[in-house]
Amino acid sequence: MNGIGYTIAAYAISLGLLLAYAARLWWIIRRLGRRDLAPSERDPPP
Amino acid sequence: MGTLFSVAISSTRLRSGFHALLVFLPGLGLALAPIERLMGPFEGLAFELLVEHGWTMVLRHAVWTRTFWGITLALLVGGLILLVGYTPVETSMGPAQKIFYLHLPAAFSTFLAGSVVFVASIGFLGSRRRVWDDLAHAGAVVTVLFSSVVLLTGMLWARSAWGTWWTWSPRLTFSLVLWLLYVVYLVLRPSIEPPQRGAVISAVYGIVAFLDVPLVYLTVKLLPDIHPSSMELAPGMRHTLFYWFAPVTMLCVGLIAARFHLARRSAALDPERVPPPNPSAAESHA
Repeated sequence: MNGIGYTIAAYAISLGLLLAYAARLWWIIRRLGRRDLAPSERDPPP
Repeated sequence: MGTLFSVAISSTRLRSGFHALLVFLPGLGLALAPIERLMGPFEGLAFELLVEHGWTMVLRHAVWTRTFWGITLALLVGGLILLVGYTPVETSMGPAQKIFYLHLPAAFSTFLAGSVVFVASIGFLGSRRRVWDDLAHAGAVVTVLFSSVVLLTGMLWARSAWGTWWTWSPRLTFSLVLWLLYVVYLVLRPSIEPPQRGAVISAVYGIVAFLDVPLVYLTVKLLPDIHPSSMELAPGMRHTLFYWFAPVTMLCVGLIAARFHLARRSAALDPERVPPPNPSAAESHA
């Protein structure tokens, strides 16, 4: 692997790890419910 | 670029005085927390009013929003475009030198998250309130994540620049020790019963573990080390480095906030962990 390969691997693995964890937290919080979100972000009443 | 930033800032709620105040008040509460017990009849005011409610409101209205994460993702994509299209290639190290623009901000974020563990642990020992323990735990999770990134990017760069994945230089060794210390924190915390005792031991451990942070920083200044201590950067490289601090630090703050938010939600949903102070109020809230 050359320098470009190491650089791509470093960014892909690092950002993948961090964003995957952020997505997991987002998904769990969404699943727990939207009760704590700001009123403006809740679904509008029918 | 300036226009992009001004549009991004104007679109966030932090611009309004009310939300600026929400960011300021928890900071003031944090500063007052160590002397909370000296405040006589106003004991608890700093925590209740400024930290607990302040931080909760910040998390609800300023951090955990699509705007915040949208800006973070946009800045990350912009940083990648900058790396490919703008940042010059360093002559001696070649393209692998571009790993540095993620490595250094990740190291800064590791120290930032470690500082959150340190401050929250002091806050917990001073007040014995569960919310500090949750904040310390959130900081420890993010410290492990970012120190993993630091070690990983460092190893990939070392393989390219030095021809080896790892060497036992002082800074690398202390960086590995830092990662291990916070991994042990995460393993230790849930394994101690009862949870209240585990929280106290974790808080003491979180304070002691933070002592490694200045060691990581100072080793390269005080001891002979193969790790570069400073680097001459061309203007294009310097701009890229400054730029990358923004999305990586935002990612760090956002992850701590989200993990903390999740812990508070879990605490609210688990009555055995944190019993509600007023059962009738809890029922009406549910």
